[in-house]
Amino acid sequence: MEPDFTPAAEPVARLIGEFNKLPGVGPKTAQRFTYFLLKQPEEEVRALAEALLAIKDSIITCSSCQNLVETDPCPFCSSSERDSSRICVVEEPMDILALERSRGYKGLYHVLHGAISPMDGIGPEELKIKELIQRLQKGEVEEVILATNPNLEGEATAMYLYRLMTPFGVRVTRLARGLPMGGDLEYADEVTLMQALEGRRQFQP
Amino acid sequence: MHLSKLSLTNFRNYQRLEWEPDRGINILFGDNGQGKTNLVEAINFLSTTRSYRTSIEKELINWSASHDDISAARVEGEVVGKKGKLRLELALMGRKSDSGKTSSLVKPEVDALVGVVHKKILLNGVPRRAMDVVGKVNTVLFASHDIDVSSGAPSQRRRYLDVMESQVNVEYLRALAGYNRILVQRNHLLRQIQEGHANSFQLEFWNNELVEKGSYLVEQRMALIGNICALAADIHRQLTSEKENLIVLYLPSLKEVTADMDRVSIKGNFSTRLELLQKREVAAGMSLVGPHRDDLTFLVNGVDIGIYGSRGQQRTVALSLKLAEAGFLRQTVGESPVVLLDDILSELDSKRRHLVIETLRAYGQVVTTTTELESLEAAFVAGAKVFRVHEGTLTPA
Repeated sequence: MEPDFTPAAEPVARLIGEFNKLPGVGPKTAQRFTYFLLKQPEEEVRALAEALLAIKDSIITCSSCQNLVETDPCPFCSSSERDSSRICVVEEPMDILALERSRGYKGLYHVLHGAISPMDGIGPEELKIKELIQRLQKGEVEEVILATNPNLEGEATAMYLYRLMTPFGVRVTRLARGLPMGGDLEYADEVTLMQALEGRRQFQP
Repeated sequence: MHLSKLSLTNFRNYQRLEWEPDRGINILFGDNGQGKTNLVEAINFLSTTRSYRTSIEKELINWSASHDDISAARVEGEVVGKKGKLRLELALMGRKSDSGKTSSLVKPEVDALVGVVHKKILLNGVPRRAMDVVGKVNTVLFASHDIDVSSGAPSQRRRYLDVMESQVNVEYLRALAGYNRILVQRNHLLRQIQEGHANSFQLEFWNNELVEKGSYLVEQRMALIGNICALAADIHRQLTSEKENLIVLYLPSLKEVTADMDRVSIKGNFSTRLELLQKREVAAGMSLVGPHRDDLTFLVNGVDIGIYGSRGQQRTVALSLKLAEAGFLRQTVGESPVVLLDDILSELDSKRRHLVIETLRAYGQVVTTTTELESLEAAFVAGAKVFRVHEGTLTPA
């Protein structure tokens, strides 16, 4: 039986362990982070610790769009400049950041916090779908844009939502699929190319 | 095509190997446990990016060479075909999980990397996905477990079809991977419906996906079996001196599907079956119909050889199927695959062995293993390059 011994002091090993739980951070990076912080002045480390606690203390879920925000309703939902007749449905809060970078969308959002995946035990009840339906029941929404990921689980979610929303008489649209800008046809995979062909549009000079 | 160079590092019992196989017939001989099969496995690994012997890739890594608990196995091959030369490299990096010491400062239970094998695939030095390199090196592998193909489990017969078609049709490999993923999701959903945790109208999406991918698989399998049936029948007549007539028969899980159906009709049939079976599928908590339940049967002179055939007859059928696979690959790809025979020749009587050898001469490169050189015909051995395998080393004999 090997003695319970780690070369690193207990608090150090504990922090390495915590960093190691983060996505994209392996044991080596976790060690590097930890020893870097050990060398930093105390106020720097304190600032990091406070920032960490702040995200849990001050971030709440918007009761309307379910995004993770500081105020309820969130800036999107309470803004008079956003078009409240459109809702764009996304899987994660991060997707909103991506869509906002495009600057092409002025409507509201709805975050599902996941996608349907039976093997992971995620069904419609686990997602913020009830909340979306409640928003539709108010009758102000004309279009729902389904912006779930173009993979199996995202498509399953889109299909489920489509069926659920049909009785409300809203226009349901799906993000287009096809070629990325600045890409080469040569490097596109067959599935993407096929969908780009199927979704071709009248040329507009 | 032929394998012109093979180099192994820490692969199974080979710490280091540089081998230039002959373009023709290569005989690997040596005692049991010296590494003959490991060499055949390595060549097949280049072709399929998977081991046919184990699903636990950590087993492929030779740990004795490393002082650390991290080690890597590498298989590198150079293949010369009609499209020129290509270099394929597969590396497996892993960490021993049962080691007491750990190189990291963290307690082993925190270490997420323990036992994980990381696989890297390079084609001509450029990183690629497995799907992009399958079929770059075509091989036909005939190992002793293949002899049971007619009497063994249906999954073995489906695998025979899948390995063959995937080598020439990437779309098939992709559809198969997609189908299996849909199947897992759908089975979970069926179980959740059974337990009252999900609504049955959620099935619609998964049914459509299953039908879409599944119908493609069925269509491709029908065409493939048509090809194989013709090739295997010819070969089988030769092997049995015109005495036996072999028919390869497709038994699709979608029972009403026939060879003259197009994909649209197959889809229609599949959808209808799913509707009819819904209650039973929910009760069973799994998908009861589709290509994952397909089977093949082999009729010799009208009799199912898997049930009524003698061991010898089953062996000959397996041989015909393997030679048909080689013929199919040659026909489709336009050049001969590398034929790998693991301890097969010694399982055959001298007459069949002679016929197999004659047939193989028509192919390009062959790698065959044997424990007894004397059991092979002198003329065959004389026309081949012989290598002696001893404790993970290879010497020309």
